[in-house]
Amino acid sequence: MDALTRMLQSASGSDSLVSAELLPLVYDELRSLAKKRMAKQAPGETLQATALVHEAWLKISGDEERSWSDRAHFFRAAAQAMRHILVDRARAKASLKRGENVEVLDIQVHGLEVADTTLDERVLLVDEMMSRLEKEDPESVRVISLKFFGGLTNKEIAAMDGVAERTVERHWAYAKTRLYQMIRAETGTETGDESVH
Amino acid sequence: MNPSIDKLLFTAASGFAEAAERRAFLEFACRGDTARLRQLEELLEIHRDAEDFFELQPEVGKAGVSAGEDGGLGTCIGPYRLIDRLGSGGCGVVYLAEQQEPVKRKVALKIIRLGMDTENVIARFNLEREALALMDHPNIARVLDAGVTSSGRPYFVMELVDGEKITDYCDRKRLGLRQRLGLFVLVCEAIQHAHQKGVIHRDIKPSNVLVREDGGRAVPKVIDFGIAKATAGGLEADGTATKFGQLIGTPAYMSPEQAESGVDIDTRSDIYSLGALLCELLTGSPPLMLAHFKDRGVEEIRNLVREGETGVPSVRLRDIPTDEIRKIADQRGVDPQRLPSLLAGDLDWIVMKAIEKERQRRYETANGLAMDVQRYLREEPVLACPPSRRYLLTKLVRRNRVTFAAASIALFGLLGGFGVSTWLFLRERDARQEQARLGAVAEQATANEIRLREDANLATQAAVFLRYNDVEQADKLLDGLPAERVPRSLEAAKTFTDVANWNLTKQRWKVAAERFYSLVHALIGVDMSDSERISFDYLTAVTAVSEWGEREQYDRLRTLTIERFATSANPIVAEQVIKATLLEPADGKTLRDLEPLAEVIEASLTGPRMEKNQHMVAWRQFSLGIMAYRQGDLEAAADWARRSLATASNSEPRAVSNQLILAMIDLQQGRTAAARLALAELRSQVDQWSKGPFLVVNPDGTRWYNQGAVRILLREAEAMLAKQPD
Repeated sequence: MDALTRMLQSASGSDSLVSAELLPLVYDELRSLAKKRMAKQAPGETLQATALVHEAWLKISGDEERSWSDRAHFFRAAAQAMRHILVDRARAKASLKRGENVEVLDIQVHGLEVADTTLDERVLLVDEMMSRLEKEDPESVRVISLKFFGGLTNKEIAAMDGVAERTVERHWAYAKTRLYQMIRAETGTETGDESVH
Repeated sequence: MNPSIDKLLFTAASGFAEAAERRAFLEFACRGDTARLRQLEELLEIHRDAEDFFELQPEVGKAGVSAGEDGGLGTCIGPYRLIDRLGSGGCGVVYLAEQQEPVKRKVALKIIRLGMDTENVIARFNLEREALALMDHPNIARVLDAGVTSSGRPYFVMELVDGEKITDYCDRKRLGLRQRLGLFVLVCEAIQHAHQKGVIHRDIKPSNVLVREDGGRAVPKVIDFGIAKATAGGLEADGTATKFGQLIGTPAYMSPEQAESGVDIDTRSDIYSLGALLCELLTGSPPLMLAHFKDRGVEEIRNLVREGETGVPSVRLRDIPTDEIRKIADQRGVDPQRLPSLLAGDLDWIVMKAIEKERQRRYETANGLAMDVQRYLREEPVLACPPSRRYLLTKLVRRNRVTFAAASIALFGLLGGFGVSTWLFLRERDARQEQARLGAVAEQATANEIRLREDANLATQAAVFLRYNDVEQADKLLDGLPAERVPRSLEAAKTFTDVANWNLTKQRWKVAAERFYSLVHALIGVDMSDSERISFDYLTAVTAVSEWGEREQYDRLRTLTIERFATSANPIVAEQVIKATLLEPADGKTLRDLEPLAEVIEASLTGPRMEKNQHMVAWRQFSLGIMAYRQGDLEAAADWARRSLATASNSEPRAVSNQLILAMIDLQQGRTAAARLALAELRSQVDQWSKGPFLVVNPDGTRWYNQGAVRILLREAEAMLAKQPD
């Protein structure tokens, strides 16, 4: 059993754990999440894993008195925080490139092959579509948040939710396909032929 | 639209490997609801693209490579940085990657594409990792590592082979039959080496045999060892994701038994694939033509491999259109008219013997096949066919052409009869003996393979019994499995933990210790990270073995534990390792090996990132106390024990453990009376615990081993007291 779970469990009594006490404990976990998230970035990426942790931490612990009921609760919040940060970064970069302030998200990939989109564009696309999907299928949105933004593995999510890994795998397979379908519809990508596979 | 129904149907439909079946299923399930049908069909169609999109490794290779801003290349997977995409096959994409640490080198990294059960792939690979590591052959590309990408796909890392497919190479170089056979012999020898180490390839085919030139010499390398086995579909009852996997391998090169079940596979399956490869090298296509398999369902392919007529190579050539033949012959530098007659006879027989549908009629070993090819090359009689006297004679005449030309037929008739047949008999005998020897070697290799598989099966079966709460059966099954042969996987570890704990509740202490001893063996090489979860398992096991197991077993576990965790930087791991390995007195080397861990613990007690949880601080102080005590630094030991007592008082076992250290120090420093009193008090306290039933998990959530460790220390202290003069 790791320290975090132990703490979170021991905290289930009267005095629950507040954010300020949690940081030293979750620091390593957050860092490994962030590292996993960053591993997918190109080497030139400026946002460093440590910076992402600190930012994520600031975001989720904004309220010093906030308490966490369990691990799952905490990781959901962490994934959500990373989502915000990555989206903000991507937006900032996009507006920098275009030299204008993008108030309303303007997806710039119309007519492009989805495969050619940059990571930042993907972050924005996924974020946008997640917001749209939220109402229809909140469960899928949750999986996408944990996987895509949180960088958690199926195994970790399965352990967190107390379900079989295979179940998470299925949710994830459906969720990403559904989301991708929305992205395709949005960007007007042609139906590609499957010759490569 | 209801997403949960869509999800259900989507999952079910993606389980069908065949498009027609899938469509029939969907039409049935969505009866009348065309909108849903269309939606699901679209989802299934874009499923793979979605995977790529989320993998963040866009398809390159078309236009994107030179663009330089591709998100896929340049990213890191573990210690590997992707540099270039080398190609993609049925089951994955292969990248050129650079390993950063511990050494900087280029490797090939294959990411498995199938939606398969990652954990099982890795577990199966780990099962064979040791056997793979034993392989060391110039014609085998080593598999270096396996792991999981951050998106959960398994990947394999291999020695980078900068070569081209053996068939392409031979055709491009227009190698003649003899040169091709020479290369083929090298491939056979590589496979033989693997078989002797107990490894079966399972997917030998031209694209897994690469040839590169080294100093003008063609060197073949067999790649992908162990991967086919690891990725072979599990036979789970609900065949959703693994259905694709059941026919791993390439039908044209796959042995009938592999197509049939994929389960009962031995080295002779590889012999079949070698035969198919040889056939292609000689005639330009494998025995069952690739075209036969196009657009066929799994079941049809199976039947074809099982029943399909494989014509004799030289005869099959007759059915090939003339211009095709011309091309094939040209690539081999021979006259189109002569090609069939070159193949007819020995080479036909060799191929046919290798690809016999019944495996007991194939060559027993890869070496046997290689030797027969070499006999052909030396123009000696091959074994592939029961040699008739006439056949042997023609062979002999050809081989000793010069001699025979000089001698007259009459002379041969007069003198030759007796001598030649004796000589032939002797050669035959030698060949048979060699075959018998290799047969034994192969048997050993097969036995190893079977044993590995049986051991894994045993653990899996035990896990099944556990799932149905039949612990007794599971325990019985595992009883016959020596610790050294325990499969190395988390699954096996889980099984052994459950069974060990069950034995504890039955108060079968010795058996429990045996299971715990095996548990540690199951964990060797599994999840090599700084995982506290794993070190916790070690701590539990070592405590059990110290209390109820054999002395040598404790020593062995101590060594294993230190080897595994000596470089950990995780203070919780460090604490657990020290507590476990110093339950009993230790020699100087052990103590020296543990010093870095003690430093990790000390560092965690001060500074800006210091541990704040007092309960945990107290445990760490205790561990430093026992470390100092074992080192003979009694003053420091007493100091740590007192500090631990002062830090927190929420754990009775910890308090008693600290007092035991203090009592032993008293004994060593001559304060016998005080120690006697303290020990009597502690003994009665400990005896109180054992009044109740034995609990694996105490009411406060802690585990039995805390009390176990106390009992061990108490016995040590009491023995020390008994030796004191009154």
